[in-house]
Amino acid sequence: MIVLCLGITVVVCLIILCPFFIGKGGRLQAAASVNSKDLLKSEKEALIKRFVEDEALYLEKKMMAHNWQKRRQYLVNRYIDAAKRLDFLEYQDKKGE
Amino acid sequence: MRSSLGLIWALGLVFCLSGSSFGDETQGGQLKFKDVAGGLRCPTCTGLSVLDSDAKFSVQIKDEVREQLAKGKNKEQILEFFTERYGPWILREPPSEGVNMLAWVIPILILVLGPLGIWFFLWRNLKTVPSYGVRRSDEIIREMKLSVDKLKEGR
Repeated sequence: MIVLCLGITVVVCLIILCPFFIGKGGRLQAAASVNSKDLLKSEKEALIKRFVEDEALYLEKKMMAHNWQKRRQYLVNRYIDAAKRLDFLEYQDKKGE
Repeated sequence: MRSSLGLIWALGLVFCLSGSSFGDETQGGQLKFKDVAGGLRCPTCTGLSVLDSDAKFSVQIKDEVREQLAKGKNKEQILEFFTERYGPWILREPPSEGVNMLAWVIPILILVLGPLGIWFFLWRNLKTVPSYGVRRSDEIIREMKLSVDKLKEGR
C-alpha cells in the first residue's frame, strides 16, 4: 500500500514537473530564455497570426466573450515578453558592435 | 368672559416674552462662562480644562470666573487676571504674540515645508534605472495593434 502511494506521488510529481524539461525550446519555453532573435521574431509573428484567428472566431461567435478576453490577455502578455526579450538582445548586439 | 380671556392672553404673552429673554440671558452667560473656563488649564490635571475638571482647584477657579463675569468683566480681562496670578501656563492656548508666536508658526511651517522637503529629498536621490533598450509595455502593445491591423488588411 505504501509502495503504491509512493508510486502515485512520484508519477504526479513527474507529471507536474515534466513541462519544464520536455518543453525546452517548445511552446512552454519562456521568452526570457530564448537567445535567438529569429526565433523571437517568428514567435511575435505567430502570436499576431493567432490573435487575428482567435479574434475572428470570437466575432463569428464560435468563442465565448470570457474565453476570448482570457486568450487575448494571454497572447498580449506573451507578445510583450517576446518583444522585450528581442529589444534586449538587439540592445546587446548594438552595444557589442 | 371676553375681558378675562384677553387678560389671560396678555399675561401669557408677557410670561413668554419675559421667559425667553431671561432664557437668552442665562444661556448667553452660560456660554460666556464655558468659553472662559474652557480656555483655562486645570492646574492639577493633565490635558483638561478647568471647565471639564471637578478638581478642588478647578472648582475654585470656576467660582472665581463666575464672580468676575458677574462683575461685568469680559473674557480678555478674566484671562489676563489669571495669567497675572499663575503665569501664561494657565492658558490652554498660548497667546499669539512674542515667543509664543513660534508655537503657532512652527506647526504651519512644518505642514507646508515638510512635504516640500520630502519631495526635494526624494528628487535629489532619484536614480534612473537603465532600460537596456527595452521598450515600455504600452509601446509594445501599440506595435502589436499595428501589426494586427496590418495583417487584417492583408487578408
